[in-house]
Parts: sequence; C-alpha cells; structure tokens
Amino acid sequence: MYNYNQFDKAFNQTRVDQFRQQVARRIDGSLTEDEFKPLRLMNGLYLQLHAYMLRVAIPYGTLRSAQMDQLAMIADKYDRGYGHFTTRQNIQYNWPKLQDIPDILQDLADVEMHAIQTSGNCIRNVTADHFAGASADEIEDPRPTAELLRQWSTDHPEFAFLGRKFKIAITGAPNDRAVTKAHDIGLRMVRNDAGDAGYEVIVGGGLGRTPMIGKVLRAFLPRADLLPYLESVMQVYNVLGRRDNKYKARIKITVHENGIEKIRDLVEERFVIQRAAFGGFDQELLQKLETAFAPPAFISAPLDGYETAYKTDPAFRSFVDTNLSAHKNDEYAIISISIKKHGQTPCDATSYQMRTMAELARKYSHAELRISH
Amino acid sequence: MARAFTPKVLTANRLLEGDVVYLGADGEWVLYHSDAVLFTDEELANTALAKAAAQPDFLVGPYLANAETQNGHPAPTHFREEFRTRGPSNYAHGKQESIDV
Repeated sequence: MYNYNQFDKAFNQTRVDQFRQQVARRIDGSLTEDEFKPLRLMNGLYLQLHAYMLRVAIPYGTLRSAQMDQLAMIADKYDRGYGHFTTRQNIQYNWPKLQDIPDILQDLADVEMHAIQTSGNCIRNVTADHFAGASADEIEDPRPTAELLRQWSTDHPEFAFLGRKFKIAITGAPNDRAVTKAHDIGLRMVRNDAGDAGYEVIVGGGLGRTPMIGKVLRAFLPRADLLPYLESVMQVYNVLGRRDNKYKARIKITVHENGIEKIRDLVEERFVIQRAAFGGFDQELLQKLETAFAPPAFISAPLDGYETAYKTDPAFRSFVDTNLSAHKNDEYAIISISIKKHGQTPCDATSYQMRTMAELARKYSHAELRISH
Repeated sequence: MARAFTPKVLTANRLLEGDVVYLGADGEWVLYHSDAVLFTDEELANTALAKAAAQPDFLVGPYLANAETQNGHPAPTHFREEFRTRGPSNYAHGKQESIDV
C-alpha cells in the first residue's frame, strides 16, 4: 500500500487549511456563492436538491481498515450514520453541513484521504480493477500506475479547467473489471511480442446520456511513454473539445466528431514534443511506487476446514460459488461483500457495516479492502 | 408578448445546512412548501426575490417557482419542485420523516 510522503501530507494539509478559510469567508459573506462554487467543487462539495453532498476519493478503490474506520466515524459524527459507495470508487456523504466540511477534510487528511478533484471539469479520481494486486488473472498490478496518474493529475495546472470532467481507468488483467472502454481514457496493461510491458490506450468511451464504447488510440504504448502520451491526449482534447454545449463537451464526442484517425495523428504530433520534455523522473517514481505496492506477507494455513465445509455445507458452498474469486496466491481467495441488498438502496453502507468490514479485513485480509461497482 | 405572471413561491437553499426553504407569510424562511407565501403579484414577487438575493450569507440561489393553491395551501406545479418539498425518494430520511406528504 502507498503511504503519503512529506510532500503528499503537506499538499493535502495546505488544501484543507485553504478550504477552511474559504468556507469561513463564504459563511461571513465575504465570498458570494458564484465566487465560492468553483472553490467548493474543487474540494468535492456539491449543493444538491435537498442538502450538501461531499464526494471523497478512494484512489484505485484501495482502503486500509483504519481508513474505513475513519469513514465510519465521519458518517456518525457529521452525517446520518451512513455513506454511499459509488461506481467509480468514491464515497459520498449526503447530509454534511457546510461549517463541518473543513473538519471532515481534516479527518480525511489524518488518514491520507481527500476529496480533491472529485468534481469539476478536471481529471477525476483514477479508478482501477478492484481485484488489483490480488487477482489470479492479473498480468501486472495496475495500482502503481494508478498512483502515478493520481500524483500527475492532482492540481495539474494545464488540466484544471477542461471543457468537461475527465475520467481515467486502468486494469492489469484481461478480464476488464475496470470497464476501461467506458472511460474517457482506458488503460490496459499488456505485453508486446518481445515481452515488454506497456499499455493499450483506449479513448472516447463513456456512459451517461450518450453511451459510447472507447476506441483504441494506441495498441501498444511502451511503459516509459505513458505520461507524455497522456499529456498529449489531454492537450489535443483541451484544444479540440467543444465548449459551446456541455452535452457535447466530453472527449467521446470529440473523438466521434473528428474521427479516431485525426485524433491519433494530432496526439502523435504532440507526443514528439511532450516526450522530449520528460526527463525520466516519472519512471523513477513509478519504480518506487511498485515497491510500495508489494504484496503483503502472505501466510500459509491448512485448508482442511474450508474443504470439508465446502463439501458438507450447501449454504457455505453457495456463498463460496457466488462470492469468491480466484486469488493469485492459491491459498487465498478474494471475497466480495455485496452492499446491494434487495429492497435497500444499492451501495449505501451504515457506519456499523463499514466498521464490520474494516474489522473483517483486519482479521483476514492484511487490513486491506477494495471498493467497486 | 410577455407571458402572464402565474402564482409563485420564493425558494432557496439555506447556506449552512443546504435545506430547501421558502419565504413564509410573515417574512420568515420556512421549511415546508405548504407554509410558503403564494405571490400573485409580479412586482411583489420580484421585490421579495431581490431582497432574498441580498442575503448571500444566509441563502443560496433564491428563485421564484411556479405554484398553485391546493386545499388552501400553496402546492408545486412542477415535479422538480415537488421533489424539493420532501427529500430523497428511496426511503424516508428527509423532510418526509416529519410530515405526511
């Protein structure tokens, strides 16, 4: 798991302190709503039909038990005892009060979390295969790349005012659980015939009112070229994307209207310039991130009890067949906990449920959880 | 030709809580649509709107919303405004907890 370094901590704390002052100025009337709105949106705070809503990022869907406990605490202390886990690996609080938001952001920062770029026309929370780092079918763990993208896209000045929101997803497995073809940019970790690691880059997918399947922009992008290539894509979109109509502003429309060939040519043209601007620091960082996402210290234990229960207990067998997925360590399994009970609101979880999941992960899963659709 | 003025209530969200509020008959901001004052005079409605817009430290986004009289109280005429009178529709955890709507 990635732990914040001093820079991450200082950056996050600065944003909390800034927003605390901005909220104070809004409450005392120094800032109008028109002035405040872009500031609150940069910090994930919406004013919806009935109340404020705070969207908190769960980067690449990975949570520690201590972070889940903190999300539960926030639900109890500032909200109505529950939160809503979203399709794109966020949690939303639906009833926070404006004056409490700075304290909530501080409580999140205390466990290395934030709500930065969870709304607004910027690069949103980077999502990944929820089985990343654990799945048996994985070619490579996508989380180091996802963390690299998180750091690259956070507060990137060139991409802070895009024509529309921009969503990136990455998977390291051939079974596309990250739904990469329904994202503005989808990345699939692949290897070429020579065995070199790289990415298939997909662009222009999306859901919403105009669902579109993404198109392949580059079948194989060498690993070292990722950031300069993505910057090139963003630059082409930033120039070519429509700003006259918000419903035509997503890159899926840009690709559809201009054609993938034209987009590809423009991206490749920019890429020549962008690649020269990268000095290799991104690859050094990626190497460090790979170390941070090393697997936990797996333990070995007898499987007799499991095998007996599977053979003799139909209810347990049914649970296993439905909820377990193959792990890359064959003495382990991935257990999916559904929070979509019939008759209840899908993906809402009470603070009690959050704490229970955190505790189960502490006992059985090296204190790690994943959030997904 | 300008459209004829239709009856309206004045509504906004409260700055601190985000609650939907309405201007009441006595000039206070109230939580429930049925307690709102129904403007039938355009000039009075616009004056009240301007006054509300001058309270940015208390209100967010005031506007006039169409309404009609039902059972002696103002009632919304648009589904969006009807949603705003209650709360989320999935289960009772908004205003509908305390009112029978």
